[in-house]
Amino acid sequence: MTSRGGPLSRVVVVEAIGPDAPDALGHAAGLCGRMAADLGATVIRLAPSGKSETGVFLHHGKRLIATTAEDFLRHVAIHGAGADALICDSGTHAHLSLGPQTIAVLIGMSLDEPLRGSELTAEARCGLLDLIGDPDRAPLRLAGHQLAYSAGLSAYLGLVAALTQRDAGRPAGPVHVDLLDVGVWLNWKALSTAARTGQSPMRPGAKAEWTIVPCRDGYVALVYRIQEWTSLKVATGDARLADPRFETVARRSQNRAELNAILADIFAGKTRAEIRTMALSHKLPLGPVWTPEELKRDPHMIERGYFQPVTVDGQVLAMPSLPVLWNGRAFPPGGFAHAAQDNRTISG
Amino acid sequence: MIPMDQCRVLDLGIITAGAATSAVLADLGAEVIKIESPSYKDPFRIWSGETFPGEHPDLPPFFRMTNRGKLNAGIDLKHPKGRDVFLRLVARSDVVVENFSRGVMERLGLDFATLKRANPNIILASISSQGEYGPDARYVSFGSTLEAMAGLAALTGYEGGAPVVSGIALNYPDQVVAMFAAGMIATAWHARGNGAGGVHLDMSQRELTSFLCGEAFLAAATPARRGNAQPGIPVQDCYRADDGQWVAVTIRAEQLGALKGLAGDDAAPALAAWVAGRTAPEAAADLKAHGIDAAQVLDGRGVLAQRGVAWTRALQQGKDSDMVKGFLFTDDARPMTPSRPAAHCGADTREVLHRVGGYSQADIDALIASAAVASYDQDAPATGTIGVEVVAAQ
Repeated sequence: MTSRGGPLSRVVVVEAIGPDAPDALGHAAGLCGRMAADLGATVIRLAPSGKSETGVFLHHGKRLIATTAEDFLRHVAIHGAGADALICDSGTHAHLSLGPQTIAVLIGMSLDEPLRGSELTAEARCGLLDLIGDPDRAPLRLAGHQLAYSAGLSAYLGLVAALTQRDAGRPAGPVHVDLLDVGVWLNWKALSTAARTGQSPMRPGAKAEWTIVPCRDGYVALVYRIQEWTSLKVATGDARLADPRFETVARRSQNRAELNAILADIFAGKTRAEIRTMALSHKLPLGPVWTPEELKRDPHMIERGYFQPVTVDGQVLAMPSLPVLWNGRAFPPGGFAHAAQDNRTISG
Repeated sequence: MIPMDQCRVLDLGIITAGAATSAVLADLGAEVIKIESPSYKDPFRIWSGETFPGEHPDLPPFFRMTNRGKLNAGIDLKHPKGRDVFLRLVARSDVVVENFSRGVMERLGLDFATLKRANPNIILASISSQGEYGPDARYVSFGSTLEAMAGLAALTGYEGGAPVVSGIALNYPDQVVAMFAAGMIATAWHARGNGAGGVHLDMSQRELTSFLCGEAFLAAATPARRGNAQPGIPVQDCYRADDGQWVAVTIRAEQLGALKGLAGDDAAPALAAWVAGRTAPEAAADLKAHGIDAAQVLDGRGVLAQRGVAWTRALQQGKDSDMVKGFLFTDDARPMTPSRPAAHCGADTREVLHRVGGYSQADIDALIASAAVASYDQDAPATGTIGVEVVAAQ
């Protein structure tokens, strides 16, 4: 195994979510491992073979070892024995006897059902679903794997904290991360309000203080707070916003639907590029809605080198890089390893 | 290698992104000193939820939840002597966290080069909307601005409908950045223990939000908005029950037979009709009994009722019995506690300047008299502004 440099270049991590564990645990462990790999760790992923766009993104730069369900625990025991850390589920961990130098990072779904549920049901249980969408329609999830990836960020934090403890000669781990707890942590504002007032904020739909409206060539997120209201009036130059019904925060809240309708009308004729220029010149937090395809051509993203070209199966892809520059240096994603190829390396 | 309880953090973080990052570092054992200028306090002291009678207007609930575990020193960074005080603290600290608009640190004369002259090993964590440079570097944002600009909103929404953002109640990118930034700071601290020197961490919230939907950038075309559906899962959505509540259901391919047994068919319309014929708790329990992942969609009160049953660490009772943010993880070998409650601006100025900065009490009196620093006076009227301690000029 070769080291690619980076702050974790001497660290070996094994990623082993059991074949019967919920998919969300694999996504959380995958993100944690991807971060460690980008930062220089050698990351070995034990899993059934297969590939998807999510898999290419998460497992870039890792060594993949394809296992069957029958062979899984044997492989975990072999590779986990020499690792600095093992990212796994509680079911897998229960079958292992790790040495004191190997830190276990255990990812579960919830306190009461660590190996049961989906990302959607966890989002339902932690209240996130209740916050997003229209009040008369089904609660809505954020796209992708936001809760699982948030758990992955938390697992990475726990992993590095435990490594630092261990390297200082102190006991470290096991580290525990649960998707449901992470979701509650994300949802702290609504839960604080519910605890204090007995009223739970819920999805506001078209009456939202921040909403998305169509513009001339797409959509724009209308995001502003009390300190930007005057700038918004100046930037748009629309006399309707000077109406006394919108003069104060309380009055804007009372007349939100009318206000949002006026703002929608104002922005309907503007392009996203014009809205971006307005936002920059008036210090307004308006958000033109860009698609992932458009972002790959976005001048800001290009200047920062955010997308790194990687070749997968002969095809060049624009891979999002770890979103940190370290003294100005980016961490380029490593090469995507094919499971079968790595199997030969390991077995041979 | 130095564990984080030997790390001192100067927290210039405001609102959520920066302030929550430093709070997470406090959980890891770091000594966190929140620095606020008396003339520019953390805006979260003003915006962050209404205070109830008996609560100090400078300590609203969201501020308290995000700033527990920190000392607080009042230092005017625009004052030349205040800047000197800050740089002396930098020389005796390990990490500086900031999430000001780009250009503010330079205007204060506190760019990375200056901090590094004061302390070659300093770790500067710059958390910004768009990163340190680039055409959009001066863009201002809240979390949902970034959902729009980073690609996440374009992917989120009902099938055939407009993009959707998480909105002000969640403001998702402002929450996740604290997890990520704390992880990167911990990594830099770990590397410093292995001999690495000072480092400037340039972290863009927009790039993080794109990273967290990274697979969408590898697709040949932008995936369409599909509500609650997910690739590879035949049936997944929320369904309204007889009691008006919603039930979230995920049915994988191997569970379609169980659905057919329950609802008479293995397609979503049959499931919707089946859920509509019973209450949400009944539907969720019955589906789970048949091996199908299901849960009632809980509101805030419902989630709080599950504390100790389904979750336990994310929210904690602080030392003053206040509810505060809890922990992202637990480590069996190192239990964490919420530590001290959030403090008034300048509550610990004297202690910080004396113990960390090495200033004498006479020096501190003079700094207060010159308005370079401020110390909270608990007897001052609760006006919503700092009660500046007045010291007679010597």
